[in-house]
Amino acid sequence: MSNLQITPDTLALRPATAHDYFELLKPRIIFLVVFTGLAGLVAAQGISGVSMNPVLAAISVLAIAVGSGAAGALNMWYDADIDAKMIRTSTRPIPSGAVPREEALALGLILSGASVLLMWMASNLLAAVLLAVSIAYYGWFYTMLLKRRTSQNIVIGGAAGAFPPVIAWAAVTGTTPPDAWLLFAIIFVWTPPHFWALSLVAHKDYERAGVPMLPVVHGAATTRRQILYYTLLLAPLGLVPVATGLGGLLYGLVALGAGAGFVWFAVRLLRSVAGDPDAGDAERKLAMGTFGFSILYLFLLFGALLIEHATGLHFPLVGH
Amino acid sequence: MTEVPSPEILRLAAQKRRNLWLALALVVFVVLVGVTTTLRIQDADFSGENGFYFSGKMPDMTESAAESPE
Repeated sequence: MSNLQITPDTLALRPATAHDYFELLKPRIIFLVVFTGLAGLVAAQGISGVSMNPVLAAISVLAIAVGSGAAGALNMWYDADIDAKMIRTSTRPIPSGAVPREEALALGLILSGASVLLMWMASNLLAAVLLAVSIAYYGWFYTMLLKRRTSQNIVIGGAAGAFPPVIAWAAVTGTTPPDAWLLFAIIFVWTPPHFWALSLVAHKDYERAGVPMLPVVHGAATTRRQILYYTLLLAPLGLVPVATGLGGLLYGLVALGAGAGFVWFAVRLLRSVAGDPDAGDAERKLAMGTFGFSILYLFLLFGALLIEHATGLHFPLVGH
Repeated sequence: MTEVPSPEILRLAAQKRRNLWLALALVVFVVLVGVTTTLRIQDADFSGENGFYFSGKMPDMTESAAESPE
């Protein structure tokens, strides 16, 4: 339990450090975004045959990372009130009193502008516009409109995190072909089971803060069922790149194994009482295990794609 | 015995550190813009009408110059 006590005295004793501002950018999300963006960038070059200057490519990926951080700062600025009510988020820079809200807003807006400008300069207008749209989608549409209004918040809002491979593809080729949107679709469908597994553990936090997450509104049993439905949709969807030629043999094997693993976790979760009032430590571990495996799933899929196209191990089973 | 610094001194020290990080971030941004601009110019095609300077033929102005009262 948090022993957080915010008083004027503690504020004076805890001046903000650079680390606090870095935490505002949600570095763990940035890591995932950079990885999927990088995979999209490398796959785009492999599939289209268009090569991008490596320095400009690195700056484009950096722009995606900074844009993601900007959206994170805007999210923390707007959600400071509910973050303070939840144990999981009460130690974040704003609710802990280290960073004033208006500074988070300023940081978010400045980094948004800088990232879009940098993307435009390093690649093209389409990639910059897509980056701007993704920042607005997360920072405004999801955070300000969806999150506190509907239990489908994470389903619709999941698109925000799905943009990086499309942005990266656009940065390389100046277009967004179906393969790019296929990677978007994989992350989009992956997001609900990923977050709902976590929300089965943290649903009391969300309830306290008044956030209508699925377990809060429709209960844990419905959430466990929905996790399985989305996982059953995700597993075959993860294999579609093999059919289009985007993914090769290695990707296909990884997607098959990882998809089966994710479904196995989802089935175990469905049969458990995770998220219910009588859930114990084993159920909590199972929900967190599913959450952890979901992250591994995405890393495996995009990692396989990255390795195939970066090392010449791309052996498509169908012609592209 | 070690003297405990006052909250004001701690605040000023933290502010100084933040200012240094801010300055560093600005320098990095300027360097990135500079590098990007340089690479884009290097990769650009400035041949023909895409050139920086006018290199085509000037229109013949003799007729219009003759009609001019000056």
